[in-house]
Amino acid sequence: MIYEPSLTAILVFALFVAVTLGLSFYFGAKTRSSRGYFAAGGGIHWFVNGIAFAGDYLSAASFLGICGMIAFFGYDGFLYSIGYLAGWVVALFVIAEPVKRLGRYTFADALDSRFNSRGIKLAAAISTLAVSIFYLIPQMVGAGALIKPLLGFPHWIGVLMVGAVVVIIVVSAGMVSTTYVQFLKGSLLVAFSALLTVLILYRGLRVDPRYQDSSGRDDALRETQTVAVDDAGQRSVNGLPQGRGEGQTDLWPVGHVSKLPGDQTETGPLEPLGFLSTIEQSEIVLWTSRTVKDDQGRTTTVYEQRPTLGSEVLRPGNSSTFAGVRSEKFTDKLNFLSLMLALFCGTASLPHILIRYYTVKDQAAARKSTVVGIGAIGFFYVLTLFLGLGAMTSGAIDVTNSNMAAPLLARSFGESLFAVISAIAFTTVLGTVSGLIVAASGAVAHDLAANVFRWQMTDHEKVRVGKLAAVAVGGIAIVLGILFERMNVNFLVGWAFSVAASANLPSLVMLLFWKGTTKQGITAAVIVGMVSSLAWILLSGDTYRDIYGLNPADAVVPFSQPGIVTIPLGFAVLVIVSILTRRQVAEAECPKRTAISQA
Amino acid sequence: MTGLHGESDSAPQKLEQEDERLSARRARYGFGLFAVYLILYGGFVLLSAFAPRVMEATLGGVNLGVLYGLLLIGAAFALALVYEWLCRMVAVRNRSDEEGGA
Repeated sequence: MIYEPSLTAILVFALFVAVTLGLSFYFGAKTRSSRGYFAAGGGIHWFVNGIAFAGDYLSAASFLGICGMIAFFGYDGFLYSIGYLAGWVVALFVIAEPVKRLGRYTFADALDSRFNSRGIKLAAAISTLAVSIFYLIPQMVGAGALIKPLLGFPHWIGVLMVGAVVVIIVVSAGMVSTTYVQFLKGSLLVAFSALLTVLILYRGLRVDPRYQDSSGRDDALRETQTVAVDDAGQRSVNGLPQGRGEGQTDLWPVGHVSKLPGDQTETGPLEPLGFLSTIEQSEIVLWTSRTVKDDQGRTTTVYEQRPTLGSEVLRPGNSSTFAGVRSEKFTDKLNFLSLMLALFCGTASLPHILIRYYTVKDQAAARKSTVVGIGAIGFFYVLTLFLGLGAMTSGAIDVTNSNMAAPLLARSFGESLFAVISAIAFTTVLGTVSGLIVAASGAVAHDLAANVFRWQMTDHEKVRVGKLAAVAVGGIAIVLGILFERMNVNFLVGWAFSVAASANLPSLVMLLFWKGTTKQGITAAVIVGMVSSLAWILLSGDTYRDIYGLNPADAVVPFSQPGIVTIPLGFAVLVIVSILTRRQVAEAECPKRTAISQA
Repeated sequence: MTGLHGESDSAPQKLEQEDERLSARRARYGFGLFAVYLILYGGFVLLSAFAPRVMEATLGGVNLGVLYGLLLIGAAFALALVYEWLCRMVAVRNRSDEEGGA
């Protein structure tokens, strides 16, 4: 669809960027020490930190990705909401307080607290960098996807703009400005999502007029939409060149209810559960797509209507990601279990979430801020169900772009709301990306430079190394964000979760709860978890299809999600290596003990 | 920990020094609540995977898949509040014990 850049959107946008940059420079003047830069001096109030958790965690994938997925496929997007939230239970009950107690700047500190081993620091730093960069890609892609319809700029300019603004935020005041950007973003995102939900419920559901009378209904349902791109890159839509001029046309917006229960045409305002039960009994027009290539080198994507019963919309398995739950094949079911396990274990292993525990004063504050975070994030995830279903029935959706579902839903309530929601979506990207870049910069300056390479640095020099690392990681994120333009945002976040859970969780958990853990065990578990999950992903059917363009049936591994294999593998490696190396330690100490007893 | 962190570090470190017994007690509560949630979440995931038909049953017009999902989100917050309350109780009881002993 062609979007007209709205001036209000640009103004709201500019205002937010100005405020965030202003905040950054204000804090930048006060933040000089490395503890200030990497951990906000440990002086953030627990409530602010809790909302900042929401700002950190609710990424473009949560807002744009989940809403889009629910709007296109129904219930499946909500499965991500459930899994993403469940991970916080692990964070609160198992990880939060010990991580706070054992570490100071990065989670590598916590892992290494008993050992002072360069191997652990090196492995943990590499895993932090890998996970951060994996997580950064979808954020940057989201930024590009958003700026195109909003400001009319091409994808790469959007990615470049977000990258530049975030690097300035991080370089000016590190974790302090990052925290306040995330606090601001978290509050705005949750508040405006709640507002949108209220508007959706107040509007209720109505049958689109084209589907109302029985003869018109059949004609309307037969209509398809096509997008054709010829070898010269010329796009035509529904048989005409895409555009607004004479003889040109554009895709029409979709997302309609075709039947309401009891043959009503309009429900009027609904309460939340009433909204869900009405959807359950309605019929909604979803769209399927297929792509054909003709011999003149023209690629045509045909979008067809598929009237779907509400009871089908609200059950799992409509999207390709979760189709496994409807399949009879056991490996498909394993794929689903594997993804849900990775989401559960991933949250508490994400480096940019873990470093937030070092910005508060003590364990009690770490715990309280997690409770606040769970409240805000859980509330938001409940709203995603309504936002997604609201978008699905808003009549405003772009059939070619699921990431635009949430902003387009807002547009169905008026241009000014569209402007505000788009600006918030942009901040969403800013908040998460800055958290990731701080995490990566801490891994480079604190873990690698200071502890692995043992550079002798003054406090001030360490901050400077951190800032240089932030610029470098920002640059890498920009390049990757441009290269990965065509991928669904949410899918990549699943990867980041798998790698984080496989590389980091076994070590964190075993270090805390098993006295027999050795430093070799931790180092081996982090490396094996990271390498095995990455290798699994690169050899999987999803990657074959989406990245290499090969037949997914030829993939080496039996299903695409690595978690169910690689997380237990991490635990197993840790235990085995620890047992083997502990015996060496015991043997080395043994003669000493005998000597003492003889004396 | 190398000696690079400057003098600002010692004060917060002292603040963070907490009674190990209290930490252990909290960890036990955390484990219990974690187990409760694990059963809830595991039940949801296994039902979705192996008995998807069950999730289609409706209760008050809303299907079980949606209700169970909403319940999981609600339960996470409820258990978090319970945990916070338990931790506070532990701290209060400990303080009164100390005062009683002195």
